Parts: sequence; structure tokens; C-alpha cells
Amino acid sequence: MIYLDNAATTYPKPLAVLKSAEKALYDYGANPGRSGHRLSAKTSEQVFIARDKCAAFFGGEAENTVFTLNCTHALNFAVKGVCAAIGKCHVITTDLEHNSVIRPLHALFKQNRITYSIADSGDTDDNLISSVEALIRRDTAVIVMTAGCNVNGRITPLRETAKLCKKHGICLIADCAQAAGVIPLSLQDGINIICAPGHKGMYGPMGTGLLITDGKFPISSLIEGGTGSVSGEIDQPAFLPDMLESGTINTPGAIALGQGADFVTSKGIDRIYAHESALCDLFEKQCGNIGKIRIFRPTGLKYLPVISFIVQGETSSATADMLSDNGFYLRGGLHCNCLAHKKQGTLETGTVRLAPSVFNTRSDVMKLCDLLNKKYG
Amino acid sequence: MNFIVLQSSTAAQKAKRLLGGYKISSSVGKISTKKGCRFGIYVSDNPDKACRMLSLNGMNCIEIRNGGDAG
Repeated sequence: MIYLDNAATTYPKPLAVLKSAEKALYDYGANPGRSGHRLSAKTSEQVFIARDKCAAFFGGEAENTVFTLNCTHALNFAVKGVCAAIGKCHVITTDLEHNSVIRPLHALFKQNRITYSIADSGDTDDNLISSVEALIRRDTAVIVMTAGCNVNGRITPLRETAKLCKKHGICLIADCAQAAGVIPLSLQDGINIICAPGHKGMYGPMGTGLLITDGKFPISSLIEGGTGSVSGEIDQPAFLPDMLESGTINTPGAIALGQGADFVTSKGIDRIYAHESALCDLFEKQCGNIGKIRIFRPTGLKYLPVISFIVQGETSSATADMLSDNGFYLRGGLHCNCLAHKKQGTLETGTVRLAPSVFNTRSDVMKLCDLLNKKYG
Repeated sequence: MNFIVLQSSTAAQKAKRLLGGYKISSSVGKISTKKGCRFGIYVSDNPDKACRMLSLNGMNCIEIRNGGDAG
């Protein structure tokens, strides 16, 4: 089996991550932040250590780092929470966004709580920035932008967008679903809220995610409940992380996610990016000339190590099924991103997506290319 | 033993770590108050100094309790 579906979830996980989840289940079994007994305090301490590691990874503070279920959960908290705190406003996003961005925005629009505009990403970073800037209105309060598209891998100019946001007093929410753990991302770059999954490039377990804010824009809670703090009041705590962490968190997941952050740091994010990008480049070189294969990667842009392709004349699902039957696990379909597929003209067929992790090798990619060449060359 | 009331469990864990950096020993605990349970840290002596150190690091000591009130 050769697993190349790491943009959906990295697999396998590092041994240290597996061991820390197991240790958490064995040794840190009390509820963190609820009871005052020693085991609860010990568990809270481990959660805090993980929170602090994740915060540091993204240039934030532990108390402004919220554990979520996944990146979609974090994005919903960020987008809906900021918009609720601001009141009716205008939001800008891009045509590269995942459904976890566009669906919450569209739901808010249908509830008459926001208006939104979609910036044309064009063919260059300058195109994208110009397009975003042209859409800014007096009531624009939020820009939600992916750090890198999950379909074609295009990396967006987040730092430049952050400068634009600062100039106009706009909150910048970054969807780092595909980019976290693969390229450097930090609140220090001017991003106001980072939303990230734990189970992709951070090598944590599924069911984990992060919302990390610089605290400059208030976020209303979407879910209220027990937090273990100010329990004598019926108002939700107004401080983070408690305000956004009602109910018991996924403690073993959070602790293992902290270990995932350690793993990425120890490997080196630049080395991870270089390794995975080299595998994508190898695929492009080996398979780009196979007549029936079309790769969606225009030149002149920066890309995450994610590469989409189709075999002309068949659906992406059919290609992915054929690959699966031969032991190669890649995802076909729309990858939960209708906007990007519409832009690149693959809404009908979808694409097959190759997404290596740090554990894949050149040999994995060469074997895949050999099979594709044999079938379609 | 003094108990410094802090905002949350997360704040208490952060305080414990910060004070460790100043060689002030503390442990995380929880007390019940009229406003409900509050997390904080136990420090054996000089709670004012501990609070000053926390304030220097941007943390808010909500209240200092001592003796039988603590716990």
C-alpha cells in the first residue's frame, strides 16, 4: 500500500504522536480544567504544555489558542464568531476557498447577517491582491483567505494581504488547513486568526484542530456550556480559551497534537516542504508528458506539495478507484472545494490529488508514475 | 498556604510555569467561591511578590486568599 492522500489526513502518524496519545489515555485520564484533584491538575498541565507548543508553533499565546474538533470547526468559530461580534458587515474571500470557508459565509449571507464578495485569484499574487483590494468597502470587516489551495496547491500572499487588512482595520482569518506544518505561518506576519487542522500537516490525530487568535478582534461564542470556570454565572466566560472551549476537550488528541507540533519542528518545516515538493515535482516531470494525463499546475506561482491531475476521458473517481485497486491511495473528486474546481474547469470531472507526506519516498512516486505510464502512456 | 485566584485553568497552568522561572514554587488548585469554582495557584509564601511577577507577564491575579479560605 502506498498512501498519497496526506492532504486529507496524514498517515502514518509519527511514533511519538501515537505514544503520546496512548500515554494520555493511560496516564492523564481525568478531566482537565474541571476538578482540583491531582490527576486533573496533572492532565491540565499536559493540555497546557500541548497548547503552549501549538501556540508557539504559530507565533501565538497559549491562552489565545483554542482546541477545536478540526479546521472546519475552527473556521466556523472564527468566521461566525467575529461576524457576530461585529454585527452585519461585508466579508471578502477568494475563489480558491474550501467549502469550510464558503459554506459558513453563504449560510451567514442567507441569514442576512453578512454580505460577501469573492475575489478572483487571477494568475499571479499581484492579481489576487488587486482583486481583494478592489472589493474592499466601507463596511468590509473580515477577509477570509486560504494559505494554500487544497485542490491545486497554490500558495496565497497572506503577508501582503495582512498589510492590506492592517491598513483598513480588517480582520484577516487564514484557513491554514493545507498549509499548517508545511510552510511557516505565524500571527507575527499580521494574520489575526489562524485556523488549522491537527490531523494533516501537524501529524496529530483526527478530531483535533486549532484556532489561534492575536486577540485584536473579539470572537463571540457559538456554543455555550460548561468550561470549568466562573461556573456560578450563567453567562459564558468572556475570556479565551474557555469562551470557545465549552465541554470537555479531546484531551488525548490535544496532547498528541502537541507532540505533532514537536515532530514538525524537529524535522524542520523547510525540510518537510522541500522533501514533499520534490516528490510533487518528480511526479510532474515523470507524468506530465503522458498524453492522457493533464496536471493542473500553472507555472510562475508558488505551490504547496499538493498536485491535482486528471486522465482525459475518465472521471477522477474512476482513476482513483483504479489506483486503489493497484495499491495506491489517492483521493479523487472535488476535495470539498467547488470554487477552485469551477475556476480551473474541473467541476464535472473532479481531479485526482497526489499529496505526499514526510514519510513518502521517491520510490513511492516512481511506482505510481510507472503504473500511470503503463495504463495511459 | 496562599491561594491566588486566576481566570481559568489555562491561566493557572501558565502562572505555575511563569513563577517556576522566578524560582517561586506553586501548584495548581481549585477553590469554591460564592461566584462558583475558581482555578488558581497555591504559593507557600509572599503571594504579593508572585502576583507582581504574574502582572509583569500580563496576567491578572483576581484575588489572594490565605489560610483556611484557600481550598
